[in-house]
Amino acid sequence: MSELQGILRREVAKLLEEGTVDLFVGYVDADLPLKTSVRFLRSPEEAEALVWNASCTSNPAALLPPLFRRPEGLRGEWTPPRVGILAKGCVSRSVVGLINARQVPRDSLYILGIGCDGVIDRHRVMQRLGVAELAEASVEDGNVTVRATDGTAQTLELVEALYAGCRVCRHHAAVIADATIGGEPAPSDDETRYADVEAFSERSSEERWMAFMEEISRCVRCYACREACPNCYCNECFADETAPKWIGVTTDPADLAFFHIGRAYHQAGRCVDCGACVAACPQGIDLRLLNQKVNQDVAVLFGGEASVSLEEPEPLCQFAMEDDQGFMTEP
Amino acid sequence: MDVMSNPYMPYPVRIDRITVENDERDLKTFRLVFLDPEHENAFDYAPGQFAELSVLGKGESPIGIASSPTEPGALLFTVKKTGVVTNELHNAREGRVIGVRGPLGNAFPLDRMKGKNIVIVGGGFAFTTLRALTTYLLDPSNRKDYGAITVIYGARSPGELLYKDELAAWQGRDDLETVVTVDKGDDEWTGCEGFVPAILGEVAPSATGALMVVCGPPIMIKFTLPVIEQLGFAAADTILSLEMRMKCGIGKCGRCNIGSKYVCKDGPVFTLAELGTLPEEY
Amino acid sequence: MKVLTVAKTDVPALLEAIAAQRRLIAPIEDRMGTSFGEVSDPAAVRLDYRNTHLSSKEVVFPQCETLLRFRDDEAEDALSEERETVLFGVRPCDARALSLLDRVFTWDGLDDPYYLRRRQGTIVVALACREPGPACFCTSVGGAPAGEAGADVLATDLGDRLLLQAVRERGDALLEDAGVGEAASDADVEAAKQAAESAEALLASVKAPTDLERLRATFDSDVWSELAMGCLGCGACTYSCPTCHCFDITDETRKGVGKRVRSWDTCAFPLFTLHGSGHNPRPAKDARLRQRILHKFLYCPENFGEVFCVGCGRCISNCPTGIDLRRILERLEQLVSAA
Repeated sequence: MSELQGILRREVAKLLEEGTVDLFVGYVDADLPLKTSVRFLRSPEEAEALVWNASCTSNPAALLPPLFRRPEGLRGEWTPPRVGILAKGCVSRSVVGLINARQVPRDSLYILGIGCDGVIDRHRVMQRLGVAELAEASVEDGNVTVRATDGTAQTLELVEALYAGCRVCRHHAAVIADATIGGEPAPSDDETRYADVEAFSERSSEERWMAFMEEISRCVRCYACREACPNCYCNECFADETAPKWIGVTTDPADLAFFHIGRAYHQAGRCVDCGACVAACPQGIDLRLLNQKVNQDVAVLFGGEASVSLEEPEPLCQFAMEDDQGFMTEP
Repeated sequence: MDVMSNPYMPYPVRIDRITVENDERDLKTFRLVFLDPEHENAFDYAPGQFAELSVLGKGESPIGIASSPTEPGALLFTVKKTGVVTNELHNAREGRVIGVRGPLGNAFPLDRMKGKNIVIVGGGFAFTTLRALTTYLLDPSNRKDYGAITVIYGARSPGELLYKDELAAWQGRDDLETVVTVDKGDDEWTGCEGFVPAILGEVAPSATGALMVVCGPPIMIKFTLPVIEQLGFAAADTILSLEMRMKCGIGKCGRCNIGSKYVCKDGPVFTLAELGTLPEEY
Repeated sequence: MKVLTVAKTDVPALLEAIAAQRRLIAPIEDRMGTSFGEVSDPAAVRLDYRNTHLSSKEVVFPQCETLLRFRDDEAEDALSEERETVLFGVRPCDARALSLLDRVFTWDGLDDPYYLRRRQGTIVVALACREPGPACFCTSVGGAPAGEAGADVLATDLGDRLLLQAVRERGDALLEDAGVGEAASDADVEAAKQAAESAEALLASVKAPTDLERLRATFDSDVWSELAMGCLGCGACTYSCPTCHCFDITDETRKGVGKRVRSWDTCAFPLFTLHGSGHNPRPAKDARLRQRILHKFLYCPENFGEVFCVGCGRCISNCPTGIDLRRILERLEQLVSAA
């Protein structure tokens, strides 16, 4: 990792020095256990702060669209900045998604692809180790070591600590890049891709509903999931509309259910399973399950997956004559 | 808890009369009568203040009070059809019961205005609280406490003028000067034609011993303030009323602040000098 | 005022005595770690945590609260039933935050009856910290690991026993009523003092800007643009913050029957200040981040003489993109002292 980190710092410094980009977005240390911060760099010297490790969880592509909107009240000429982004597989797919959706211009982007072995899910670490808080944690030699509040240290294999999506990831390397650093980790076995969705689907419909409602009951409507997601770029989210008022703003179970189900459906065929929403949620809600179920449905019904190529429209943005039309006659 | 002690509870009021004010029919004046006379007693207000009009099931809307306390028995609110709540109000019929929460905010500085000449400049539908102020000043019990009153009011076209009957009545009086202007007249219009800032420049009221009260859409304010300055009115003697998105109206929900001031609580009436000390975020 | 010790083994009995006629809210374990919850089984209460992932403001200022209930055109208030609550085991930062929230909800004599009814019915037993969390900085903003602000009783963990010090009358009465524990010795009181001092020594110091005039002068600076670049415009920081109190008021209705509720809101949302006309005084996220920071470090000091940050660090731990308030404060202080 540290050799790759060194290469990363040099590459980015060069990009900024040579003016290939005006801005580069990557990750820096966050001074908190198992956490990094997203950082926008402008000068080559700042590149020294860049890191690349298993705590690079958030998806910086979510921060791209505002950079390409003309600043309010600005008169006269305005050219969008040239923005570089460090793109692991899922991040690069998000970038493809945004380009396909005309939210960011391809020409203004410099995509620096990097091979990713997966990122840690902090909530999962805490659960697996039965610790309430991460007082101190570090990653060494393929293990995550955590010191709990009572001082005792525990270890978890890194592989066990990874976000569920990382463990079944088929796109460890960037799907689109202007340049790539690091190797190309092998994609995982497709067979297990939807294993947890399938396991959940075995349960009775009542059990599933109860489990879902219980899981989201902790939601406080902070919208961290929505804002962290690169696909949630809508100027007006359905949850915020007042005319018509689709849902209330409260934590009433009906409002919570509508919001999460609505969002999952809006992600259908677009979610790249980056885990940014799961990492963002301050309440540790497992948002992945519903999103992956919808993704699976799209894969089964229409084939294809989200955002793998600029040449290929998203699965739900195209149709083929062979597409299953059973939903019309056999809902 | 009784409604008078709970600042979130609206007083029930009946819509006594609805008057369509303009040709576009998106401005209506509602005459509201309290269901409970005790509530009317408790609703002790002064010109410049506002209230939250409550429509149960839709929400609330902060609207300036257009009536003066010298017109007891009812409250007047002129409402523009903009969103969910105001749409519902516009669809309401006379006799319907809605809610009024207030009075909220601060009033025009009536004490400070005593003995002074008052120049009142308004544009568009921001004239509502200026009607309240003018009516108050003209009341026989108050008139002698104030100097010369000059009212300059403009709208886009004759059809868009508010309170047409009142304006005509004021023009017939000799205890105030009323200048009504429109951006563009029609075949029947015999009054002034010109933007409010320009007309103000022509009328050129003296700033000596005078206070200026101005309300209008941001664009009008922008062009009127330089004229006011040129006429010699000091920033501390120029009084404005601001608009902001509001919810609680009592300085708690955090939405309407400009710096450390809350428009619902420390405003909406501010002097230009006070605004000068606040960040430009409104 | 009483000063008692209670053996750890007797703490369940203490909690049962407290909960006998009251609602007990205390830290319990949940999927996220530790949260405040209503406790029926005292054995479920955790005292060995750094801090809960959301603050305890929920107890006096819930995420959503019904203000009025209505049917067609008639409304009645929905003030909660008075029910005495003991908030047990809250950290001094969160307790102090309650005393700050008190200022807002009673500001200028405009008392908020919904907040006050809950607050006045809540007896606060704070639990002093022995070790700071990774993002804690209470001492840099006027707090302390064993601070008493907002608390009725201050408890200190002395290993095999808890020291309980009544801070206010209500706390004194609570301890009297519970009838558990014995008078503390001087040694115990001294041990608690030592623990407080050790905890303070472990806290990192953050240089926050205190010169209000100079801070005001940063309003037009580019620094806000720079600081806001990573901001997503979500509510994770605001909703986990013990002093943030902005709220929305909406009507929920179905066929003429419904309620007017208030729910948490945040100045970080773009829609927060959007006018009906379409005008937005804070159109971009730099203005919104500036509002959030200046509200806490400039406007509240101007209005209440207090910084509205207790240094609990939750905004830092919970920010999805890792924006760190400590770095923001240091950057501002840098800017302010260079001026």
